[in-house]
Order: sequence, then structure tokens, then C-alpha cells
Amino acid sequence: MILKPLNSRQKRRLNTEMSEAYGIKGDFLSGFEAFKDGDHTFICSRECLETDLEGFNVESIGLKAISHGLPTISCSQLLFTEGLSKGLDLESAQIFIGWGCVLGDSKIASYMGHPLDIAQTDGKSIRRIKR
Amino acid sequence: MPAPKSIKEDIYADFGFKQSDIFGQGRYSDKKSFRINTLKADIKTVSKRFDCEPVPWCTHGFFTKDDVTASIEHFQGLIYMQEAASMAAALALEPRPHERVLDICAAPGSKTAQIAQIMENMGCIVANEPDAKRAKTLRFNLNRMGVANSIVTRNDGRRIPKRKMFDRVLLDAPCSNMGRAARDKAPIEQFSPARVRKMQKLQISLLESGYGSLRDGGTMVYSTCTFAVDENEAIVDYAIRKLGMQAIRINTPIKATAAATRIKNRIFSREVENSLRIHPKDNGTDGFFMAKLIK
Repeated sequence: MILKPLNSRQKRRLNTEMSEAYGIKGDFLSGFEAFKDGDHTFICSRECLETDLEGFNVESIGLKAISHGLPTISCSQLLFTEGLSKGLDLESAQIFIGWGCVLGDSKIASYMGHPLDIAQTDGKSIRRIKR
Repeated sequence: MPAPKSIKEDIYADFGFKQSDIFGQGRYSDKKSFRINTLKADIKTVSKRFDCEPVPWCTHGFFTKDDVTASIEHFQGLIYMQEAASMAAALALEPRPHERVLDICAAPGSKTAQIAQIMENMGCIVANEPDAKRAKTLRFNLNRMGVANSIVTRNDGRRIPKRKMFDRVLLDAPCSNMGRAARDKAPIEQFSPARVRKMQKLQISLLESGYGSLRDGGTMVYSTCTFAVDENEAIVDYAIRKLGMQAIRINTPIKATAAATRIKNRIFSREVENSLRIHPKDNGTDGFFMAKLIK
């Protein structure tokens, strides 16, 4: 498996895309490497890219950051630590849910433009319905 | 919950433990635990949102009676439901940032994610899980927890490349699960001496595989959630006698019993007693066993 890390210009562009999508300030990708695999962009540690994986049946490397041009929710949560550290009370949680596109059956379809079909909510709590 | 006769003969009588050591008295069943994911959130902020009390041996672990799996914090990967005793295994491994770590039996990912947070998302964790469905769950959980320093692989755990490339190896081995017997009757129903023997064979193969991938001087933590001496002390004894590993003392405040070095006519290496046997009555958790081995 040969992975080509993004160069500094491409990484900077990725940083800008994420910043614009989530209003995140600063160079939040510092300390991570980034690479593309098809329509997805992943971030990982430098050591992950340097590890000799001969003989390993590799399933995935690092964390998916961009999928089909959209930032993934797991990556945004990791990087958006400032917002999360402020805590989410019930009202904030409802805003979180409200930001998502909620279908009639209370299944969350998307969050901030990222497709999200793994949960349902009754307005107070969220339950995972699919992995 | 009454224990089947075979278990009394094979575990209680043979290994000298009282039934009350192994089975809870009903008071354990409602005690759940979770870990705060410091990759995404700080401990103080998140712990305030739950009715919880700290796990004494793990700074980011908490006991609770709440159903935290339905919370937004769980959904966001700020917390992870994890059995409190098992939190001690990743801590005993003592991974450091920039090291290479192998988690041989990684699914569903609780310990992998805990290792990642101890390593502050630096270094590299090879998280291995051969089963496709379980590997998918592992990937999902690592994503949810924001783990960026992991590589998920699907090798047969018995056939990890023997290249001495890892600084640390966690072998949380498949076992007869008797440590859960206080709150789950399935391990009791499935238990048989033949099952223990089958598990032991697999555990030795996994141990040898992990040994081959570990660098000289590297650290391995071997753990199970069972009480059968054949799956615990006997495996550590094998690592010492056959592989030349050293079993060292584990520094942890968790209440535990030193592992047995003599069971009827079987005598294990003296170093085996550095391993820890954690009974449900010790801390109000599931039962657990762990050993720290140096290559």
C-alpha cells in the first residue's frame, strides 16, 4: 500500500476548507499528515505513514477527514475542541440536532452538510440505529 | 445465580476460590462505567454533566448508574462505555507518544481508543481484528472517538508479521469470559473444560505471535476477563518459561489479588505472582486478569 501524503499547499487548502465549514480558527491540522484515497481524505500521525505494513492486511489508516468534498463529523468533532470543551447543555444539544436535517421519522440525515444516517432522536437524546 | 457443577469442580475447587469471590451478590449489575475521551474533551467539563464518581485507578474513568449510551456526549465520542477493570490494562501498558503499539485483538476498540488518548493521538497503533463485522465496528468506534493515529488491520492474530517492530503489544485475549458471570449468564452456560482448553491453545498462539512482533526489551500486557488458571497464570508461565519473557509488577491502585503460583500439583514460575487477578468483590467490577511481560 503506497500512500502519498498531501504537500504543504494541499494541506493548507484542506485546513482552509475545514475552517470555512466549521468556523475553526488556527492551523488545526498541525501535527497530522494528510493523504487522499479515492474521494476521501484522511488524516493520520506521521508514524502511521512511516510504519512498514508489509504482511498486514490493511483495512484503514487514520481518520477520514473529507468525504466526497464534505468534512466528516468525526473529524470536525476532533478538531473543533474549543466548541466542545464549552459543553453542550440540553439546549445546545437541541441546537446540534436542529442543525442537522431531520427527517419525518426523526432520523438525522445530515449535520452541517455532512450526511449522517446513524442516529435518531426524540429531541432529548440520540440513539444510534445503525453502524 | 447458581454455578453449574462443572464450574465448581474446575474452578472453585481446583483453584481454591470461594463462590463469593467470583460471582457478585447482585450489587454489581447496576454499576456501569465510562471513560472520558481526552482527545475531544476535558475531564472536568464532561464529568460534571453526569451523576458519576471517579474510578480510583483511572483518571479518565467514571462509575455511573445513568444510561450514558443515549447521551449526546456518547454520540459525539466524548465518552466511551468501558468496563472499569479493563481500563487498567491500557494504563499498565504505559504507551508513550511516538511509539508503535500493536493491539492484537482490538475490536470493539475501547482499549485501542484509550491507548490513543494516552498517546495523545501521536505515534502509531496497529489495531488488528480478523473478523470483518467486528473490524467495521472497530473502525466506527475509532472514528467516533477521533482516533487518528491508528491503522486497522485484518490479520489472523496468530499470524502477525514477526518483525520485532512494536514497542508495546496489548494482547487482550479471547477467553471463556467468566469475569462477566456476575451479570451475564451466557459465560456460565457456555463454560466447559473443553472450551477452556480450546481458548488456552488460541491464547498461546496469540502470545507467540505478539512476542514475534515485539522488539527486544518491549512491553506486552496480557489480559483476559476470566478466572480459569489455564487461561491466565498458565499462559504467563508459558511466556516466562518457553519464551524467556519477564513478568514484572504492575503499578496500579486497583484492588487485586496476586496471581496463583501453585494450584494443586501444578507449580508456576514465581514471577507469575506479579500478575493481577481482579475479582468482582475487590472493586465492584467485572473480573479481570492482567500480566505485564518484558521481552
